Amino acid sequence: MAVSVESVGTSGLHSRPSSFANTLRKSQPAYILLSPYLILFVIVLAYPLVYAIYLSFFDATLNRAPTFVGAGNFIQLFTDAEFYTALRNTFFFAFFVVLGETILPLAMALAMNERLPFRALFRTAFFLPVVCSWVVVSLLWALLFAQQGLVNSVIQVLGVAPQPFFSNPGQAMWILIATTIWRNLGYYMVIYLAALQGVPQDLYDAASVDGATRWRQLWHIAVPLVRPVIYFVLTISIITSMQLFIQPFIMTNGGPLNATISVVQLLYRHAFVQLEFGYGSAIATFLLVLLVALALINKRVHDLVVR
Amino acid sequence: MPSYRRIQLLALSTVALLIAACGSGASNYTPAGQAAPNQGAPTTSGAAATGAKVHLVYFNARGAEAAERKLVDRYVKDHPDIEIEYLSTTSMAGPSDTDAIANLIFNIQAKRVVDVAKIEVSRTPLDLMAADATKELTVIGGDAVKTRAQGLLNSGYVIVNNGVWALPYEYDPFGYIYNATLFKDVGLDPDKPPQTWADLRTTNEAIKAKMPNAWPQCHPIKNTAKTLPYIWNAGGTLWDRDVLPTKALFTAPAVSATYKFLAEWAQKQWINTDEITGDNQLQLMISRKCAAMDTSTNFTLGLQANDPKTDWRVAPPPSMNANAQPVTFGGGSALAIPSTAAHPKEALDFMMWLTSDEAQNLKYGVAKDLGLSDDDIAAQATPVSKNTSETLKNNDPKWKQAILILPSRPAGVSPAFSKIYDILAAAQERIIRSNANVDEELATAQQQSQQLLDQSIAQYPNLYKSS
Repeated sequence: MAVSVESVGTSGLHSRPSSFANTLRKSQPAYILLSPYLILFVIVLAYPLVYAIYLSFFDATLNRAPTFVGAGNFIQLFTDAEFYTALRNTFFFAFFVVLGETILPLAMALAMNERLPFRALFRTAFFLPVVCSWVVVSLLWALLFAQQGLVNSVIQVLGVAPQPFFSNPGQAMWILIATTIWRNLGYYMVIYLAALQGVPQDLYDAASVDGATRWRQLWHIAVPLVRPVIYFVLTISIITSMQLFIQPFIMTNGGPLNATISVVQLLYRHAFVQLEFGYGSAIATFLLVLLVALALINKRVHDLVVR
Repeated sequence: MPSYRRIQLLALSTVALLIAACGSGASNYTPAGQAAPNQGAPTTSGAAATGAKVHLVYFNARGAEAAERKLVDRYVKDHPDIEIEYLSTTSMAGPSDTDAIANLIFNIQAKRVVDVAKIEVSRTPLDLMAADATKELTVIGGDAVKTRAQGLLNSGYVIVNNGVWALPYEYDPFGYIYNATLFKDVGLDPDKPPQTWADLRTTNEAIKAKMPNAWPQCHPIKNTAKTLPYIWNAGGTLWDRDVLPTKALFTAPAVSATYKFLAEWAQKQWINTDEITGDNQLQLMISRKCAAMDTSTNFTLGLQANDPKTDWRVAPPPSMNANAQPVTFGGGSALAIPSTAAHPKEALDFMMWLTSDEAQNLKYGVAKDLGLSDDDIAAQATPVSKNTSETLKNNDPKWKQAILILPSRPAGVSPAFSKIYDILAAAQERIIRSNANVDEELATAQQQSQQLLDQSIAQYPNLYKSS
């Protein structure tokens, strides 16, 4: 408080600086405190982002100076059959993962919000996969569903023929989807749970007095009140699932027959295996535009629904 | 006021501390060549003459950490006028290996001093040549270097355009690894592994008949390098020449016959349906899901260590016909002198020692002086020294089945190498998994690859001009 009184008083005596300069001066401590992050933001995010967009117009590799190719990389991108395969796979993966990550955690949070026996144990158990790294989770699921893995051993005991989970193009992607939903369930459940616990008890009590069943209370009170959180979960889930990389990288290497290759994995292959930095940057730029567009569509839909 | 100033001071101090910490580092480590006073102006013997130690920078972009560090220590101990700064890049299978090479090239392009670089042997010497990032070794060491290179296994990759661009250092040949115990169990003679394609058919049929759930022949599905020995041993080749090819010859009869042979494996369910990776190959072999596997010969060391009761053996990749002289694909590592070397003469001396019988015997435990563990030794493929290889094969029962002294062939290396291999690997996967038409796949792959070769020739005229 004393700070703002003195600074306003002093500036008022001598001159009348613009309100922007005044605001900037008043915010100086905040900017100074933020500066370590801002410096790193510029170095490791903003500059590489701008440079990647710039590089997407060049034929660039390690061995020679970049050559300007205009929209050449983008033309190559839109005529690359492998890119369309990767895009189709990514959308397929994202659709089912977003569906699973939005609905299942909400259902679990609604259940965990009830006074169940061993509730704390369940919450811990559901959240536990979140603390495991993606690499560990991917390796674990790859071993479980391998030809000689636990799942095939169990189904063989039950009299079912062993399944070619990672060699059948029709099955491999579903394993990735299941892995991803399983890993993220706990995270989104906790977010929903926090929102549900913010719903005033009075509303449930009033509905109860009016004769609403528990299901009706959940559907007509709890769910509408956590709608902003559903929007948040949707946005985060869309963005993260469109960036699919670690799971196919570790579990399938994009196979079989490119059935699980994702856009980011294609980007990685071109940029860091083939060392085609220009083409890789073009894929990254396309993905950036796509994600921004999806986020905007998502926001627009949300605004329409809320209105 | 006081609190405002305190906050401001605290914030400024924090920023200053962070910047200082980022900038200085806590150790006295100097990035390769950054602080070297003689950067860009090699001073080969001046330092020694003035009594100061010659400072060599050894960049390991290939792994086998334990052995490298101990060899460096030994060399420095025996050469008091030399000090070696050892730099390593995490090196695992696959992409991170590429990361390590990229890291090296970045360092060279940034004009940082690197005197000796341990690199991947097949494509990297050419990549460095294309970037003018490496020195030709006979200019530094004369004919002795050529003689040494020619005496080492895998030399075909490094003798290019009449120059020697690196010295092979570790040899990683592919062979037919088989479970001799399983062979015996199904009624096959374990001492007679398949030598021809006809033998292989008989062997696979026998195994499949007795073990219908096993895969008689495990072979990476999406991989070109491990198919190459079959093509060569059918009398074919993918290229008009083994180094810097200008023509893709994928539709040649022997190439077509080889891929049709792979298709036959798939149709008869002899080949694996899961892809073979570094993570699962041990499990697949020990569990007897795979009866044999086309892979690196030193894989038998891992099999012996994990399942010592089973008799694991290695044989040359089968040839199409009898009487053929089998060859194989040899990966591994090589030692090069980057263009930013400050002490090329001393660097070459060090490399000549590393590739000598003395150092190779130390590296692979023929001489036990370095105290390397079995795991350390097994992590570095097999020796490039023919003498060391012979000694191990004849005297060490563990190594007997890990060493395959076969000539290797360069695999058509060029700046387009990696991309073309991906095209062929994808075609191979379609042939095996989808029963795609072999000749159509090869014709398409040939057309795509020829375009890449033509682009490569246009982009690197100097590289191709003298070849």
